[in-house]
Amino acid sequence: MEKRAFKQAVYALRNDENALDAVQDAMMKLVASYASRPADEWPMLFQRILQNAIHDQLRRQKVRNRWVMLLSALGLGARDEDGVEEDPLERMQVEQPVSAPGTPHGDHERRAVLAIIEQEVSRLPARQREAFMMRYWEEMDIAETAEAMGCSEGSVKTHCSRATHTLAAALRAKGVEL
Amino acid sequence: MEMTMRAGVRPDARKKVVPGFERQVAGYLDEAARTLPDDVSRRLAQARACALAGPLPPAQRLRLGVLGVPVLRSALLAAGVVFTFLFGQYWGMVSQVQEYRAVDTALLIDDLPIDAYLDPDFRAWLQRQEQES
Repeated sequence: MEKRAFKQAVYALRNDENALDAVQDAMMKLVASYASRPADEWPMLFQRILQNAIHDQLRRQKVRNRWVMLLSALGLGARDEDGVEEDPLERMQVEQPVSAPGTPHGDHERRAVLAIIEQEVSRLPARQREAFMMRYWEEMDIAETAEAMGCSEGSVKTHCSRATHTLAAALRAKGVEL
Repeated sequence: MEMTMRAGVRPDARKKVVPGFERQVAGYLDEAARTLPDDVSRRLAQARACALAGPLPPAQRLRLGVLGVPVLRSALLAAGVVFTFLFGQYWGMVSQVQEYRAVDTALLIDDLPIDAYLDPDFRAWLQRQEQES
């Protein structure tokens, strides 16, 4: 459970240390505040607490990033000729079809696809990513997802649909067909 | 409290509720969660154990972030107390100056009472002032 929560936090925060803090905070709050609640409510409660912890970390990151942006403005960091930061994953193109796992080549390609998927998941708008993760990764139903996200069930469906389309289009653009 | 909520891969269960594309993405994400670096897995396990054991002592929580929240909170509290004290001093001084100014203004603009002109000493003082000027 904590590993999946950690990955969710990493996709949102893009920082392992902050993600670890967010997951730890979420687990502590769940145990401290909701241990007495029925066990079938824990997944939804944990997701709600986790998302709040992630939002808190994002706010703190924004403050810290002001200093990072100052350093970037001074010219630090890898940039290409056009001044755009280089991203190694942008250069990865996956040939079709993806080889079967088990062989070294297949494993390598699978890892490449995984890296692209993780990058594109991380790039999704926050609400779409939250809805997608809860619905399809955590396998929460629409009502649970809506409660955890604090929105209507209709909004959850919209977020999920948009996330799926965005993700599929982004993966196709990089040569990944699932 | 046992934290055993939907952990691990459940491909059969997922097949029933999650459509094809989403199921495949979820499968990749499962793999990403399974293959975390050892140190991250260890720290997550420790965090889980800490959470189940109860709240961390304050000294341990201070190590969590670069600027731990308790440290920041104390600093803000101390700054608030100092600011309140200084503001109180400043406000007291401003109020006193305004009070003196109001008294002086009232004295300067007040009309002279009619009795003053009937006072022989006042008339003598006026004549003396005229002679001096």
